[in-house]
Amino acid sequence: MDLIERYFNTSLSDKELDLFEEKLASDSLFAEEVQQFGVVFNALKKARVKKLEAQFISYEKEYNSSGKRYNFRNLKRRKATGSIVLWILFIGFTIQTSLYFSTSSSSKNVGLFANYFEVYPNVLSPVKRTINDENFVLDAMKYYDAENYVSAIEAFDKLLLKSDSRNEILFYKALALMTEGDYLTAKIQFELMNIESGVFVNHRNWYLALVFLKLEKHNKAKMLLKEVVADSSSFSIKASSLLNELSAS
Amino acid sequence: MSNCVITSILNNDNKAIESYYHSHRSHFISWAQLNYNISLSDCQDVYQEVMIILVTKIQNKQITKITSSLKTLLFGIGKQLIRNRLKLIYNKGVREEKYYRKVINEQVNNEPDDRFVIIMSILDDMKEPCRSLLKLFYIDNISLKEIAVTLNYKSAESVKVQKHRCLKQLKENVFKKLGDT
Repeated sequence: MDLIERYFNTSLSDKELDLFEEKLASDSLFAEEVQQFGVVFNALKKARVKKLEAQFISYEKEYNSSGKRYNFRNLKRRKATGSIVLWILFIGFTIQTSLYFSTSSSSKNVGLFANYFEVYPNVLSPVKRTINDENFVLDAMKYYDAENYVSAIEAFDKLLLKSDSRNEILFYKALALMTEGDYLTAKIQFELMNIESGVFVNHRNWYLALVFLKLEKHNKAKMLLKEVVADSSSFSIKASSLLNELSAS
Repeated sequence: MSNCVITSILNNDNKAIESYYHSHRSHFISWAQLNYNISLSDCQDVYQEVMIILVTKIQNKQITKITSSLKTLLFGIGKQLIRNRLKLIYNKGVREEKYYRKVINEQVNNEPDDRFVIIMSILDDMKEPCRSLLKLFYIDNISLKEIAVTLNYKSAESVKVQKHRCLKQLKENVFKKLGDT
């Protein structure tokens, strides 16, 4: 029985599998038994998948039609502490109005940047491959995936000397630089990208806008954000929201 | 970090699974929409499929440790699923609708639905401890050790022996029923 279950879980050793398959071929009763257990295991696996599906569907209830998450947990807490929050808001508002003009805009930018900046995932070599021409990208992206951005930047520099995929490499190098806090060099990488090629251009504009935000070049950030909004890519929603926040501040 | 998440998922920590689900959902959906021009609801479906594959692969110990990040693997699976989905859409234009619908049904269900329903109803009708034991182990993915504690067995080994007995009984009941119908 244990062997049959391990056969269906593909966890038999090579030797065990050889013996198992030999028996399957020579013993028709055993083969029938295995086939019947196969039916039962398939049904149990399917029940497991259905349970996971139901679990994930229940998670989806926390999202509205546009895919944004409702904050149910905080709602309860908010109700309980509603009056306290109102008082804090009132006091905060009084203090803030007196300090408003002396507050620098940089702290707001830090908050906005932190809210909107998220490292873009590796889509160049998402799974381990052994295709020759992708090996060199894989090496650099391994550092990127491991969040070892300093080594990733070094690997990207080497890649830039020999790779044809300059836009992609420049983009990921800029992202790595952003995570390391080197926004000026990140800006240069984005500006070196060939916009005409169309490769990663929406991505580039979005992240470059964030760099401008960080560097407090609001006009440039807004100009790029308008381009991102006009492109109707999935960055557009974020860009539009950031643009509104920037205009309001 | 990724290996910690793998351990939590392997241990069927539902809070960790839920937290992981929420942490990458919006990013995955934006990425899928941006790169593959597919609808929000399709992206949501694909994300759930990816999570099911990821969780079952981890819990079946097909993924134990990874050298890159789990997020990369998640996006990699997603990329493959979307490509398969797009291929299917492409095929729609060149094949007879009746034909490919049959193929989709076959791909989605390895087990014919009526047979699955019969097996589940037989499982539901089984006496204790078999019903709970099989459900806990195969559907809720609870370890033998935890089942031993929950159902008051001496050890995980005793649960394993009982599980084999129950499984055999389930199989016999199923084929008796299927033979009758």
